[in-house]
Amino acid sequence: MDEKILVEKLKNPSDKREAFGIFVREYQKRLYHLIRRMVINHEDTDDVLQEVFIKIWNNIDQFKGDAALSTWAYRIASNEALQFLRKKKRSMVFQNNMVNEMATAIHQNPEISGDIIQAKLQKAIAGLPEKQRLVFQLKYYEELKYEEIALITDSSVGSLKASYHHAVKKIEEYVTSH
Amino acid sequence: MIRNHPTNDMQKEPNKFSLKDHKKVDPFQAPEGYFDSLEGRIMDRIEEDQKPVIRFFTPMRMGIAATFALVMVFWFVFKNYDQDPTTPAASEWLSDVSDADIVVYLDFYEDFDLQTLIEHLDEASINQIYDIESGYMDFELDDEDALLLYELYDSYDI
Repeated sequence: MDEKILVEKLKNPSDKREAFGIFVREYQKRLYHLIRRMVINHEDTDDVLQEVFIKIWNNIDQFKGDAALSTWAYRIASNEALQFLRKKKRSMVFQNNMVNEMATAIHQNPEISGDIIQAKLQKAIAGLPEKQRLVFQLKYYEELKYEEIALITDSSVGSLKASYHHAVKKIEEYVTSH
Repeated sequence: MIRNHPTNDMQKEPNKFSLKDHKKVDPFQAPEGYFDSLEGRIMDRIEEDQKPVIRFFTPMRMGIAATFALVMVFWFVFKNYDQDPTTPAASEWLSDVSDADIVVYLDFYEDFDLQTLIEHLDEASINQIYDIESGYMDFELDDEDALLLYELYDSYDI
């Protein structure tokens, strides 16, 4: 469905329920993977993702259409994931669980199971500061343009380019030296 | 110009990991069937949130309960005030602390006028905070306060 029509239906009370179903099916995988790569654990991802969709349902009337619907959805998902990480940040149990979850995920994925480089790569990504990790995910995995990431993260394109290149350098150095 | 170390453009390190040469794989997969049920669970939560909630704790009830609790606390405090002979009063606690220590404490940590405090010191306490031999004071004074302390010390004619 065309995005403009979808937004109109989402804002129309009589069509909202049906349009929202389309919206969830369209975006659930993309948002799940973005959040999962940030919070690592599946159960936490599920909680955050549900919150994201409920926020979108409750605030769709505030969406002005200045940016793409996907940008708006990514922005809400990014903010929710960062907020979740800030709440959990001080817990050592959470930090240890993150490492274990990551190891399990790599082990269970047949495409990369036993791939030592991949394990090092994920550990290096997990070691980045949260905001830089988000920028890295949006650029490397989601392959978004800097202009779009700037709208999602409320940052300038210049700072994002610097942040991404710095992240790549740190990751490459980590994988090389470990 | 002679370079001691090879630069990136001159020579690429053979074992250096390069992200762009690495196969891009998302390591995290959702459990099987997760996305089939997600929409339904989200809609259940939205419908649950939209149900009118009958609140037991209305603002008026909360206000009444808070007032009652406050009255009970005051009643309990006044009823038990000074009735326990084993509980020492504040003056008893402070009787073990020297005047000099109290002055030093108040000068450092509280917003008291040192002049007022010194007026209440006895001779021994002034000796404690001011060493006549070395002229050393245990706490910092401004010129005006130091002069006052000196005058007080002088008046005791030690």
